[in-house]
Amino acid sequence: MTGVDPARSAGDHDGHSAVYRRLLRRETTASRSGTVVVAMLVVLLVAAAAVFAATLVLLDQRAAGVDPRAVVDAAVRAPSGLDTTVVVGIAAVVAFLGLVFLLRGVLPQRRPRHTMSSRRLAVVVDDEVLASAAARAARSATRLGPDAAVGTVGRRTVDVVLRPAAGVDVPAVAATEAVRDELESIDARPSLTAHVRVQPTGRVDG
Amino acid sequence: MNATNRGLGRTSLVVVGLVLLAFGIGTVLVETLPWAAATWHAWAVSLRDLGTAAARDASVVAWTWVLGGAVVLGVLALVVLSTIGGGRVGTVVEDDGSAEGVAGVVRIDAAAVQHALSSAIGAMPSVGSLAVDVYRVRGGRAVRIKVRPRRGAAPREVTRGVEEIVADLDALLGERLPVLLEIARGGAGSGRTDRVH
Repeated sequence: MTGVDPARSAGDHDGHSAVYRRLLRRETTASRSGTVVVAMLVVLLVAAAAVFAATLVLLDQRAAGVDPRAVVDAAVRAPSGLDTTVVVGIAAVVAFLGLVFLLRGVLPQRRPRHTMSSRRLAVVVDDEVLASAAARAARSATRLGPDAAVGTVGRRTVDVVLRPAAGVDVPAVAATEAVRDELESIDARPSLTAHVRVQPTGRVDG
Repeated sequence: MNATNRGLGRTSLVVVGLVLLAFGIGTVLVETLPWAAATWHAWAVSLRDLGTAAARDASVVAWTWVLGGAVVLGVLALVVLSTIGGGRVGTVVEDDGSAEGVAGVVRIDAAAVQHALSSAIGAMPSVGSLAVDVYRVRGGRAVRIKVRPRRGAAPREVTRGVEEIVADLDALLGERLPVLLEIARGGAGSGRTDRVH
């Protein structure tokens, strides 16, 4: 569906490739069920109001002194006899709600996840896990403390920032090499490129 | 991984969104622009039977249609709501054996697979916590293993370990179930790093 191409990572799965493709596609895109629930509650509310109004008319009753038929009359006569500010305000809110539903339904929504190749399994990894793995790899090549490396993962890039204590020399090339090896072993889809940066402003360790 | 019908959900979102958007914008236009109000008045003639000026018979017919439409709409909304979630199942394998005609059925509960996988994977040093569930996917069964690794754990190492364990499960079941491995962030133990590198 999107650029993730789960089919590639589900390449040699014996007989499960269709199932794996479906699983990976669903796991890498977000579910809209929360918005769907809200939208359906709105629809239910409207339907309930219409049922209530129709029942009142059919029984020839009024609710709180208002006849639903008079409401229809007022709507037909619009805009005369209505407070423009209030009506426009409510209509704008309704239109905005509709726009939100529409966009949530139409736009593709990717989760911050990557898929990994595997012979037997369908694998999805949260980007945060990839980031911490890359940070750990960079750190292990440099002998820095646990908080000195920070990783961020985008869709196609991994950025690792090393913040050594003031005066400590960092083997940046070795760190880059380590991160690259780690990413190579992970083999994520879409593929990731590593950028390792050493923050020049030193930190003072306590 | 659950059985939510996402196509239906998205379609209903688009439909409801379009209707609300059109209603809102239409109302704003009618309130503010004279030509839009004139168009609306020409249109609204068809709503005459719903108003106070209509005869009792015409009014009853028109409002009965409203009642029916609203009920149908409500039922549709409930149908869409009912498609959300679900899909978790209690059995992994159900087999009545070969054609030789030996009586009886073999059934393997999801709990058996869950326990076997949990104890094996939970013993891996880089795994903080995990959950195993069995879902119905495309008429078959699929296992979801959700692993929360410790901070800095190598995803490839986790994957390789789980692959080995799943291979054992394959041998045990005599069937290769589709397995989804989800390596997720956070969770118990993810704040601590591995002691041994």
